[in-house]
Amino acid sequence: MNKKIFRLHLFSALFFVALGSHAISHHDTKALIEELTKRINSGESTAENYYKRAIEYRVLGQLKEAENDLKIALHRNANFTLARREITRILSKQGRHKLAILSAEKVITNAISQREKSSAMILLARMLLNAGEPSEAIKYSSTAFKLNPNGKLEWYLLHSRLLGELNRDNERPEILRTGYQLTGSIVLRNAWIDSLLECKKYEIALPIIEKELTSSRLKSSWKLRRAKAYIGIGKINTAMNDLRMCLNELDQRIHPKKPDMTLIADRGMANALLGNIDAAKNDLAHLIHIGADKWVTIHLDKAIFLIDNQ
Amino acid sequence: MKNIHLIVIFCFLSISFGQAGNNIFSRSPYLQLATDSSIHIVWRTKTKMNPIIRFGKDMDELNGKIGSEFILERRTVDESDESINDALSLFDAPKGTRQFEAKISNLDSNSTYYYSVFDGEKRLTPKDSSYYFKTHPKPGTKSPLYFWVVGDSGTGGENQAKVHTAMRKYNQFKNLELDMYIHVGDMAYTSGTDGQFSERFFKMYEPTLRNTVCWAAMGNHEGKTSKGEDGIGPYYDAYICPKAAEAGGLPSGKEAYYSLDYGKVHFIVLDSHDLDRRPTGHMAQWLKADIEKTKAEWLIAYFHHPPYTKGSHDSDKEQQLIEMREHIMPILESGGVDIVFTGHSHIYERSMLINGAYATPTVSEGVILDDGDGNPNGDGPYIKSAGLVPHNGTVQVVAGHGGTNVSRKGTMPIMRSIFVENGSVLVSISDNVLTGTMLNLDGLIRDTFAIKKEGTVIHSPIENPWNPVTGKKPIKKKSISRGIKVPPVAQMIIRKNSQWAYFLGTEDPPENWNMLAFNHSSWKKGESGFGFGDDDDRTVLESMKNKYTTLYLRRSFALPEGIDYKKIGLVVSYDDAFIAYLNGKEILRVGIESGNGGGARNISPHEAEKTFEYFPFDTNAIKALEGGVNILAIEGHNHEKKSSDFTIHPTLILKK
Repeated sequence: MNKKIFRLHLFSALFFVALGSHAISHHDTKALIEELTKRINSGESTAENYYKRAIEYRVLGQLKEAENDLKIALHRNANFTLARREITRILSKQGRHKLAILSAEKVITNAISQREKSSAMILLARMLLNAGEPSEAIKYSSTAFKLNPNGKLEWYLLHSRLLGELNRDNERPEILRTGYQLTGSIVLRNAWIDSLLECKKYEIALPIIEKELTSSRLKSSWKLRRAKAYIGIGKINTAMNDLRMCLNELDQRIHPKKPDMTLIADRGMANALLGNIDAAKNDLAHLIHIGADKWVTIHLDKAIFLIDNQ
Repeated sequence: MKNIHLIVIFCFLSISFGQAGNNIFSRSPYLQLATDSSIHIVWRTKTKMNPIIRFGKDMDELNGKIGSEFILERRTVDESDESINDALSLFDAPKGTRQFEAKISNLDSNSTYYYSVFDGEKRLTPKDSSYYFKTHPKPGTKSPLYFWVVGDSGTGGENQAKVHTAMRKYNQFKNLELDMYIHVGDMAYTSGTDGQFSERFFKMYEPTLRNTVCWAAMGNHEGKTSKGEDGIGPYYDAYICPKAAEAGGLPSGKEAYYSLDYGKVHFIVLDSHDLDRRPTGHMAQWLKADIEKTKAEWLIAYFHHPPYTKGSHDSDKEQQLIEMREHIMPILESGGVDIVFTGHSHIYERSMLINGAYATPTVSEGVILDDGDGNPNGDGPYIKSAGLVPHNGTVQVVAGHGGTNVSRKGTMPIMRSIFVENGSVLVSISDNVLTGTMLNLDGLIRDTFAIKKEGTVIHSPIENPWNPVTGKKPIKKKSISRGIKVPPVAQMIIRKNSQWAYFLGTEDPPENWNMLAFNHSSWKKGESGFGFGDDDDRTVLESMKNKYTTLYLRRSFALPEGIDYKKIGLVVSYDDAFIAYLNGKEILRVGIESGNGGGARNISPHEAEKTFEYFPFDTNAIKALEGGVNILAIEGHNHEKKSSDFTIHPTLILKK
């Protein structure tokens, strides 16, 4: 099944849901829910109307109501893929991982084309990761790549993360480099450089880092990367200098009361590498407090542990 | 599945019927993806053709030509046609539709070219000066920019048309030409189908789109049929977005979000609808990298879901809006963003100068850096440091009033200007000033604001900011009784014993005596300090005792280049009180409770004792500063006529 056919299937699904939208004049979320409720109560209790109302409930953060509507939508149409995907994500968001996994498995069962199947497998891999089962998850993300070798930006990031969680860091550069070459995404390029540093392939990473340092306005993230490389090759003093400059710039960028999570992660790492362990621990604690993803904290946690135990 | 396909085909036909008319074009030529050396011209027909674009700098001499070998032809999905590969298929265009995408390269930067579409030798577009395109200036070069911002317009109705016409008439009247058009989403109600795009966007804006690139952000209504993750759908068929950084910035790898440069202005376009908005998501990671890379002087971001609104949507209650505020705004502000345009909420809301407003619910305490109206003819423009400086203040503009029904739920406390009527926003950037104008559907200007970038400005949040619910300005700063110890001086801007123009308060001076434009050549000249009775004055005013209590002083000065405005302050020796004005604006009141000139009331006694006190410039004083010549005007007051002494001896310093 090629992309053309996929487009046709996707369109069929989307168009089916979009049918009738023209009659809804409201753009206010609550008013839209009221309008859909009126429709449902007056006999138009279709799977599509329940799905649409669920989406609006989700927008308002009312996940329980959204879940109920999606259940009804699926009861009326068990092959309603969009509803199945949505309920999977909602279940996962509520921390009900086992149910989310079961739901994602049903998405795979209902998938028709290889493309749909591969996309559903990535969904299941994500649910398994959320449930703390990366070794199971990677089986599905690997299969997804077999079914659809080109993949998508998100798939490469997910697969790379799964490799990282399974301590298979040496495999990460290759998957990220392939993804970068196929998509051109700078996010994959930067993740590839980070993975090179983690695999101690400093000689490949350093020239790119140097180039970025000369062409970037804000340099802290590249100084941090260069410092990691310098530490790796034993240029400790130069690395410390980079880390201090990194912290200087971050101090100007980090809002004192409402800091950006990504910058706190950078500052924490710079502090850890400089040996400011208490400051690094504070940053880590802050990240955990504001609910940062494990992938954000894991590297900082590792660095603190290593330096603390030196 | 076959049945679904039949329904789909039936719907294709119903929607497409009537959209094409008799014109050869089912979508008239429109511009896409301009850079400093290239442009795309896109059009659709219902029939086969031999596509050719002729172009040139002279309308009568279209000596450039590109033929079908450089023109991509895309067609409707057809399972039986093996000649259409993935990249060439259109999503849900009417059967038989052919979309032509002509890329013209090797163009001069910042140049205007005229063009015409041909079918072989047959000219399809008229010989008309409105068929032109302009290439961007080279990234990093200074060039003025003028663009149109529209959101939530795609009804195909009367109000949308009126908003468009109002913009065109305004530009015609002012002799202005757009450099670009920004759409913040919801351009094809209600589901962003191909037919809705044709009728409610391309047909509606045709005269503008033929010569102005629309750089779009996807709205939730387009999101019903187009998907950001796949880059598939009518929205992605309509637009050619620079996912490989063709127009500047860093490659995103997704058409859903991208950046572009126009001279020294960097634009960031995000998909707030259907992509992960968390800091760990690929969009946020790209944003961080892109923002760290740019060396532009202005940073403008736009997307559909507003971080701050109480129009038809509530940013304190809806997930996408909350996430854009809590996750995306910190990245933008830590990178020095200047202004954010959004839609979704059907209203016009424009904020004060804010920073760090990420809390839910949104409050004004601790986040307003300048609570003025931002109007150059009112409280003055918002002042920011030159270049892109983190957390130096952002203006938020919700422009979801482009054509659909408008409404309001409440008042967002950071907003300075709110209008519940249809309209659009016109923005010009010239050198160090950005000016925004909200034009309503009748062509009336409803709001004007500006951001001026100069020197180094250090803002701190205002404790008691202007309140949009009461519509009242904050309580005026009380008169202070004295200054502080003079800090070490780096430079004297107005020295001690300098020459001033002065006017005796035996009568009131002209009303505009403290303005920059006032001519004080008829006033007396003398060296400071001025006064009598305490043996500390260079210009002694023997006539003052028992006759009058007020003395008016004026002196011009220019600021040294590249100084930190926060380090400027007045150093004054005074007895008893004074009011200082900078370019006509009151910046300091010492020892006088109310009124000015002859109407000054409740003047407190104060002895100079041959000492000077320091009064640092606050934000209002900094805002009153001009780049070239400034005028410092001071009215010195004695607390009573029979007082035994009087002194006023002002200086202006730059502290270390």
